[in-house]
Amino acid sequence: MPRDLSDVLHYFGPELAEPKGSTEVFAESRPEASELPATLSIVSVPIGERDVVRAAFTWNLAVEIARLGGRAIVLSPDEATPSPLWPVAGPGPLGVELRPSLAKDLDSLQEAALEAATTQVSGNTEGGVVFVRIPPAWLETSALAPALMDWTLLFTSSATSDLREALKLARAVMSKKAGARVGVTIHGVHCRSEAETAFERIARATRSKPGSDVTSYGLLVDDLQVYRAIVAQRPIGLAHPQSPAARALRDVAQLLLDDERKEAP
Amino acid sequence: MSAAEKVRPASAAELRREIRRQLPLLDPELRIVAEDFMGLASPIDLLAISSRGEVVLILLSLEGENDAALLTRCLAQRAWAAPRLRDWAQLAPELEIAADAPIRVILLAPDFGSETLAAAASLRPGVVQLVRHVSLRVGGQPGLLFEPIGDEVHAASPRPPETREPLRGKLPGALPSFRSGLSDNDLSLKPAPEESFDD
Repeated sequence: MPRDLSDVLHYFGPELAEPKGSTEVFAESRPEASELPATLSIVSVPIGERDVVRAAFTWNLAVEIARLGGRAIVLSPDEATPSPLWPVAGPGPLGVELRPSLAKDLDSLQEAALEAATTQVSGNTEGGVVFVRIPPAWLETSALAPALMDWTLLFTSSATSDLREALKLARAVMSKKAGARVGVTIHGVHCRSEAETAFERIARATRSKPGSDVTSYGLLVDDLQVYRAIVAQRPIGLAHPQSPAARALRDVAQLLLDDERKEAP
Repeated sequence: MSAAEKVRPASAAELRREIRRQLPLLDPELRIVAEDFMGLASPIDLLAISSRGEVVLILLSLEGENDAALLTRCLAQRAWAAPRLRDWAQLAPELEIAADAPIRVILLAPDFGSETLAAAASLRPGVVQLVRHVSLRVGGQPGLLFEPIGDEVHAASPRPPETREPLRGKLPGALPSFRSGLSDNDLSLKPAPEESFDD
């Protein structure tokens, strides 16, 4: 165990950056397989029927999680086949699977999610995430679906109207499950402080009810690559790995994986 | 009573040694964890951790050195260090680095020119702290005086967002912290002018 930061700083020196990048350093410090989760974590993402931007964020996050060594599935109850939200169903880049579901409500979607989280674990030693698209209207129903409410990720811009919508969704989740982890990623920002301020606003607003804190999952940049990726149905992290959008996605994916591994049994 | 004599430090190493010794006078919450290590294309003089886990880069210049260049270097080193915080926190957990806290920079120089002061004032408050240093010899013993000038640079500025709440979100009643390992530089973003987002 390094005792002093200067013991490890050489890992990050520019002269060593190419042959031994931070990803490799991180890989070396990963926990042993025995410390990793036995099942994938379920992260629910409210995404409307025509919300291609949030769907693109989710799919790209799944690819980033795979790039970081985790497993990722996107499960979505879709009316139309093929869905306009997603690329072609089935295994995609880096093994990320897009799995359509016939679920018509939260309960049946929960069943499908639990199945995905456990069947996917075969041979998996790295942990990972099943992203589950939840039609926002389903959150207003009386179904509880506790496995889907454990961990939710909301994408919101910093605009007041979007923040209000996210707040409404956060409260809907929290009303279904006390202590639910509701994550918030701020997208479309022009600078980091804009995301910080937006997150602070929603954190303060959810705080109005006791025991209901949201968790920050960074920021995303709506640069041109996001929209190109949506149109081309190609993950940003693979097509444009050095773009600001890819870096931001990777940062959010890392936060998700860190928390997923922290919570692992 | 011994007379105090203003002296010039013989070298950056000597100055660093004095800064380490007198750090509590500059900020009692800081502890030095690394010295004179390679950052982005040039060395970072000192790296400190605050009691809240913030990483603080300390860069210094001697008499006759260019303080404006020091400001440029500090911003570059800050951008270089930001994406590495998460790795540092993992590799040296005993340092209790708050990887999601913004990096602060303290610049120490014998004096700062008007251009440097103006440039520093245009940055978000809390990012860069300017401190004048004066090396002394009192009764044969070396000494160092610090004169922080951040207050005059940011006299009328509001507190930066990252200092409005406890940085690690661990204090009772604190709002959860914003988390991101990325800076505006990482994302090629240009910070918008300061404006209110309050309802």
